[in-house]
Amino acid sequence: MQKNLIPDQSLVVSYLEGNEAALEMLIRRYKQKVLTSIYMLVHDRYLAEDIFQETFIKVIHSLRQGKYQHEGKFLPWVIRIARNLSIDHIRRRKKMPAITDSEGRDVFGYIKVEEPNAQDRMELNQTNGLLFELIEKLPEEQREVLILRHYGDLSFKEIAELTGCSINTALGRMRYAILNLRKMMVFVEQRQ
Amino acid sequence: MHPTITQNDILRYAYGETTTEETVLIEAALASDEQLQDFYILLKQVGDDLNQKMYAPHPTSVNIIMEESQDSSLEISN
Repeated sequence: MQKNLIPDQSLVVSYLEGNEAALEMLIRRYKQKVLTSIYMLVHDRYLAEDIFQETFIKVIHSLRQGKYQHEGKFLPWVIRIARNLSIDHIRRRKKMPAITDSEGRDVFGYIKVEEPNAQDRMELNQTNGLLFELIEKLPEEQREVLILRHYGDLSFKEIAELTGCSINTALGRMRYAILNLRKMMVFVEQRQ
Repeated sequence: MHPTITQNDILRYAYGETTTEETVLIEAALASDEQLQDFYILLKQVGDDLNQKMYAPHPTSVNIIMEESQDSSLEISN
């Protein structure tokens, strides 16, 4: 496992002392894990970018207001913020009334507002493999535990507390996520 | 005879959540139980795949965050 040379807490202290580069280093360190976690929750690349920005802006304000109590857990703290913001967006989206056409179909179901440009497409193709497609097919609670444990570095106990289930349930969801992914991978290989 | 080690224990072991005593028991079980070995290997494979396939934010996103940081820093100092 790659060890970070400068501990997160030293970077946080340095940032609060006025060193902007320390924040940039923290963002660079965790940007992929945070964005990927958000994307896997909201399934929309552009919305994920927006929530990514919102997350770190909230991180900045919370740090400046002294709301962050370090316990060696900077990434899990950021992931909790990202998860809460993602859930807020999902709830807001569900509350939005559907705009239907003359045949009663949801307009946003077939209108693509903005096509990705060539660079975005290349980036998506390079990073979005079969595994991501299969993860999206997992039941929500299994996918969430997988994301929080793997990318968010939350312990199973912390996941249990955050999602309101027992540790055994969190472990069971993770186990089923892994086993279901294998089943789907075998199925895909057999069809090829 | 080993105490019963489950796939849940392997999950906690893979993510470094076991005590020293549990780790010894789990490693002994892994050395002798093919089903547990298979699950551990699968877990590692999925983990490696997840680490290799991540999204990177657009550089503009990072710039926006850094600008917000600088602006809020100025607000505090003024």
